[in-house]
Amino acid sequence: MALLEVTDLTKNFVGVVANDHISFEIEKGQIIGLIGPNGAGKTTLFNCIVGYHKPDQGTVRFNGKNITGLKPFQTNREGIGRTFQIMSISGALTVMENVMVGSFCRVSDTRSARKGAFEIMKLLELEKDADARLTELPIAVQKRVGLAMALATEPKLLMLDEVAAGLNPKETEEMVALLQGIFKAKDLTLFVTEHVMEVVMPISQRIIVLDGGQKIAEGKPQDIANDERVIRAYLGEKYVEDRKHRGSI
Amino acid sequence: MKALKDALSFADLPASERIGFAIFIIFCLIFPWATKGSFAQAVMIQFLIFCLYGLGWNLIGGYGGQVALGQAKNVGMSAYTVALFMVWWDVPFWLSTPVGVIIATVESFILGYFLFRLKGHYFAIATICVSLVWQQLFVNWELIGGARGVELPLKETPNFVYMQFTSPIYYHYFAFLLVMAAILFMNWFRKSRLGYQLRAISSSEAVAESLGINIHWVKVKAYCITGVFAGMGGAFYAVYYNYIDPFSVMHLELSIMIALMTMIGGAGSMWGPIIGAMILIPMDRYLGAWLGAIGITGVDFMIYAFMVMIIAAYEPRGIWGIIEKARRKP
Repeated sequence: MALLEVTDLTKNFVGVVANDHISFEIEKGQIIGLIGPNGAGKTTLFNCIVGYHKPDQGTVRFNGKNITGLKPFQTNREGIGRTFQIMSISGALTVMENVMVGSFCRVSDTRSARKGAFEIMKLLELEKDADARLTELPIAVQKRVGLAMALATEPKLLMLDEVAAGLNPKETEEMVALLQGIFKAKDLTLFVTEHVMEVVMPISQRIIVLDGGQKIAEGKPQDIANDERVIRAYLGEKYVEDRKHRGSI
Repeated sequence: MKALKDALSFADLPASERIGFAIFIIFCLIFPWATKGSFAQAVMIQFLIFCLYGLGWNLIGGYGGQVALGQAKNVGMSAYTVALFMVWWDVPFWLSTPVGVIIATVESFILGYFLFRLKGHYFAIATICVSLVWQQLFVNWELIGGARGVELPLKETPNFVYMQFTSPIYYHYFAFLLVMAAILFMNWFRKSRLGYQLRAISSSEAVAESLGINIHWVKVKAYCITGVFAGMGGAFYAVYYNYIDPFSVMHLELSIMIALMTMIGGAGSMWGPIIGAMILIPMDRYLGAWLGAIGITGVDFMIYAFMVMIIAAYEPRGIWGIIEKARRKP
């Protein structure tokens, strides 16, 4: 049985079909990439799964349970954690406190929450920033804090929304290494969206490609890189003709 | 047991805050003996009542970041319950107070349950509307005294059961006990799961939701606790003044006063409401009395509004925000 099963998911916004009959499955213990150009519907798909949007059609099953239309806090309690592309939170809480809020999802007393938060911060090398406010930190550290907050809720499936957006190449590399580290340490399943191919290609076992709200391809990273429809979506018709001419697809 | 330990432990606060708190306690304890002026004592008791209101409002308005402008109706409901129970059925303070507090809390629950579907300004406006409805209802409802208010019948001798004393000292210490209980509760609260979750909600609702927090329910819970604080304050108000009317305990002005006072002191901080009350209540009463005596009325409100504007422009987190800023850059 797949950990996450999305069947025929459709989401319309006024006049725009953001997700058009999308179906796919994610097995436990995999890293799955979700790519597509800007506006392809990646974030909408995320929001439909987690519960920020209610899908117009289709079902989402997690761990054998139908979670379609549940609220974000409910899907989180079921075991889906997520990070945000831009985490706009105020500096009211320190990094430590933010991660503790995540821990409070599973425990109710402050001491265990602090202990849990501390362990996760150690894993993500955030100890020295424990008392800083999020707004004072560089973006690369903010992303790690977001990751720590989601991890503190002890998810089975962690969904990462544009985890490398705004990072420079070196920071991106570090983030990829970090993700691989926590994937092994925490026995997780990862579902990663990116429009930067470099992030998902090396770590994913399978990649799903969206364009214009539709799933246009799904497969191994090397197959995806040579898929005609994917190249068309990313680089345009002219480039496809060019490569056909040279015989590379 | 653990909760009690958390409530009584101030060990995580800096030494300066603990010393400040100790001075506050000592000041409140010796105040009635150090001064003979009845006006000063009355201002002091008002200060304590407003501390109680502010500490309660701070939960939803400060930590939770929800601008709820309806404290007065909960104060009023409880005050009216205590007063009317005594007028109609001669029920003692200690029996009518729990009823009053429960009524205030239940009203908070029902209102919160529906109004917290609204967000931001819409929520604030809705609470104002509900407050106005209650206010009009109490002004026009003849059965409960209407605009004339309710006078509590006086017993012949000072009476603990009805909380009627000749000396204000008793009221002072009772109010002080209530404030201490409120402070200890807040001290537990700020370290509790509910406290963290509420602060996360005020920081960002979308992120809080993704961390397994049922934001609607957490807000409703916090709003109920705010109702309890207001209810306690209202019950005390009724027996202290022996007279209540819709303008003193039910009025929107009181709700706004509570919110502004907390914001000036520092919403979302442990000591903010107390600092706010410490500045505003004496200023309001003394300045009001003094300016009234020389024939200028209303200037105190202007000064007060001006102060709100300056503090809001300089540091939105109020006086406590200024203190923290100074502390963070040594």
